[in-house]
Amino acid sequence: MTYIIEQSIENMPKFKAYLEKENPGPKIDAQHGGQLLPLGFDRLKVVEWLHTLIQLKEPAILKKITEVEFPQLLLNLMDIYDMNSFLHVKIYNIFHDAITSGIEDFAKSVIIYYLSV
Amino acid sequence: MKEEEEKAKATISTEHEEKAIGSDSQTGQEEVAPKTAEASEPAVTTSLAASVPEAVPPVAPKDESKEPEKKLLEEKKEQPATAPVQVEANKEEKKVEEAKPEEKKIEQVKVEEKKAEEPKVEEKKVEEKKIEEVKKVEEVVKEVAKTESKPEEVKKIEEVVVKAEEKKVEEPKAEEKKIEEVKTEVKTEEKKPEEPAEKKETAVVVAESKETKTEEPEMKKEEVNDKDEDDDEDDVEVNRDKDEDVVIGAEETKNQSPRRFGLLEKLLSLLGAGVKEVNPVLAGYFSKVMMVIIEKRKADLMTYIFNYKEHIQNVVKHSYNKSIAEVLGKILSNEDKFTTGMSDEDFRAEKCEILNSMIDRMDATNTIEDITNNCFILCNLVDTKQQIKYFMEPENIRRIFTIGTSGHPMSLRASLTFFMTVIRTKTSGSSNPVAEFNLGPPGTYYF
Repeated sequence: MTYIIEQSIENMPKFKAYLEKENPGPKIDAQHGGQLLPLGFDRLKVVEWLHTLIQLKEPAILKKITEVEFPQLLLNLMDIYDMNSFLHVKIYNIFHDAITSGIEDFAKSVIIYYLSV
Repeated sequence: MKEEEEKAKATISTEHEEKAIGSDSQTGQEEVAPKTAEASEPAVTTSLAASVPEAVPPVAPKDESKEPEKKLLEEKKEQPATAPVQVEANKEEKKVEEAKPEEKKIEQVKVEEKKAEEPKVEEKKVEEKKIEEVKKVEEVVKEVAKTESKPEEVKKIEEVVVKAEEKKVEEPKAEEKKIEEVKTEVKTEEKKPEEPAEKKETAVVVAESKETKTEEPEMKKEEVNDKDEDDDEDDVEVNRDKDEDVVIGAEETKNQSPRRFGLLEKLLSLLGAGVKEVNPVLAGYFSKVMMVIIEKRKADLMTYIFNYKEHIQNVVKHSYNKSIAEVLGKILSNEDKFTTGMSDEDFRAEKCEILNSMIDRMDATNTIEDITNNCFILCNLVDTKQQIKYFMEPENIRRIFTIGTSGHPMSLRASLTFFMTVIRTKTSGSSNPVAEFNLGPPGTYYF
């Protein structure tokens, strides 16, 4: 395993904490009349980083991701930022790659989460 | 008895008066003058006094008080006869006497004028003295200036003398050199028949070197499969020329850098140590010029920049500007070792120093422009062979992760972007991307 993977696994809780952190930013007026909370480019970048790590299909990384409960967190983000299509597309690709590439633990965790909800 | 005594006294007084008058006429005019009514006519009284003793009879003592008046009246009556000549003389004397006071007055006026002029003269003298003093001071100042300037003049003279002495010393050396050159020419003329053989040998050596150089690019072709064969051949030819230039250039730059790279130094002074912030407009022109120089005279530029580290550090310092960041990326993307005339290790160490400073500039303490531009350069350098070895070292990976997770959102974004580019470039087109990383234990080069 390379040192990048080691470091990314070590820093996984930090990335999760960054995604869980509340967004204090002011809400933006939406075209449909309501107000939206902006996602921010940095959160989107962390989600993208997760996608690249999942694409490596490294068991240690996938295991760590499921341990940290990233799938549930991603689904929560879809609820919070319900109008941000950039985030939805990224999360869709993550799940798609996880399920189609046979990452059982990741798929199971998602299914279990939905069943529990 | 009393009457007799009075008569005797009267006679005595008359006799005394007569003596007195006679003595007056003999002695002078001054004593008679006060007695006369007109003090201004003493001459007339004297003449009259001289004539009086004969004409005047003796007078009784009772009438003595009235006698002088009578005398005066008589004198006045007698005056017209003797006056005309005397009056004229008197008038002349008066005129003379009147003229004298005028002269006196004139003299007095003159004296007064002189007195009045004296202070002016004194003032003039004082002014003249002051002017003289000022002149003296100026002269002293000039002398001091001359004494101060003297050392420079003396130095110049000394320099001229030293140069003349040096010339004298050099002249025999030059003559010796000329003699040696003549000798060498004579020797070469003697050896000329042997030259063709040497030329042949050199030609063979050049041909062999060309063959070896053509083999090197073939090795490069194997390593880099993306490039076409035609492009590679062209590149090889260009590199061959640059190889020759650089080997010469590296030696020349150490000796002739001040003259040869004067304009380049001026250009790079735009990013001098004293410049806090670069003008973005000028930076755009700077980058354009530098890009052209890199394309046309890559070898010279690289030798100069890597021999004078201050310039490259200045470029890194001003990497917040996008134009200068592009120049920096262009300089660092050059992998040709020939450009610097350095050994591989030295060249790699130089680049590592620059990359270290660039990673430091991705820290949260720097501006957003610094972070994004340095991240952009590092991401572009990932493709190159030497840089990826540097980036895969555990220390550098840890550093970039710590910078990313320090809390600054921009640093996090930059570090994640960098790692994503690293992973994507190395896993693209491979069925087992993780296997690409499993090339050895941590702490070694993985690619």
